[in-house]
Amino acid sequence: MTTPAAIETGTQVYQVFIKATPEQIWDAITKPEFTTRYFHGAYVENTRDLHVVRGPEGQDWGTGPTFDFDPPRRLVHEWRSLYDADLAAEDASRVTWEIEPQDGGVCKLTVVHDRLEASPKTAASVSGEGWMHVLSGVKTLLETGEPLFAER
Amino acid sequence: MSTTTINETTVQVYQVFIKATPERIWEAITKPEFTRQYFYGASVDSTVEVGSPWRYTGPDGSLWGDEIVLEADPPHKLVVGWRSLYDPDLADEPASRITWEIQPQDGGFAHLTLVHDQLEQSPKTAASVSGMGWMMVLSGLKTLLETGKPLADES
Repeated sequence: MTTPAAIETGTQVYQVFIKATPEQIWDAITKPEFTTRYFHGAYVENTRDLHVVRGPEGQDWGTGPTFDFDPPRRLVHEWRSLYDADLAAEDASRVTWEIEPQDGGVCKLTVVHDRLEASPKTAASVSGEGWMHVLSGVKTLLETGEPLFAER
Repeated sequence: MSTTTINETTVQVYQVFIKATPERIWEAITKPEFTRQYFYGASVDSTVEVGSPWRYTGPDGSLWGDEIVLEADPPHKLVVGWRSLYDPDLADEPASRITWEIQPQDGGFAHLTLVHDQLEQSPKTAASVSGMGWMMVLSGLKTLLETGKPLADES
């Protein structure tokens, strides 16, 4: 788990266990019809080359390159917080999603947010509650079919 | 997140958001009919009064934990002792401490935070519960409350 010590080193790690197939989790993190229901309303569409992120009014919230695209196991993309002027001024960082099947119809979903050494405001903004808000939302959506939080 | 300097191995913080009332989350932490469905099969046994025993019993009837309730403020905060009796190596280490905190949020859900600390003298326990250990428990608790079923299919 993330601690201030981990934030200082520029790497944050979050995990959650979800009752879903790797394919279902892959769809939930790469397709906008899912992300709009749990990712602060963000429209996210991932292709092999591009990680597109738009806000509810179509504004760019952090579109950037995809670094690794290995469905349904691993997705790596650039992260920029363009939805906030202070955060947008910081360097780009990197987000890695890993999906690992476990026994009993369960998968472990891990998010690693790293290369944050030069982006302390971004690191503080996404840490702890930030990413766990997102991971809790994916889990609820996949397991119940309903969003965890009221939709925008 | 805390901003104080803490050692990753001696203070561990986990959190999850759950679509449930604080009262239901409190029940899921303190009643055996819930814990046995998400806590590696362990049944909790406690009156949840400060100073009273806080015990976990494994599926085979063996004692997995036998500490006391240190603080109880239902349905918001529960602090209990922790010693891993299910493993002799871990059982030899001093007791550590678990704090469960439940904070209601707007919109019918709550933020559950678990802090496992006072692990300075218990490095094996710290390694054993870190990462996957507690997140499996919190993930299972969330699934049970939101779907009425355990996280993993019965094998």
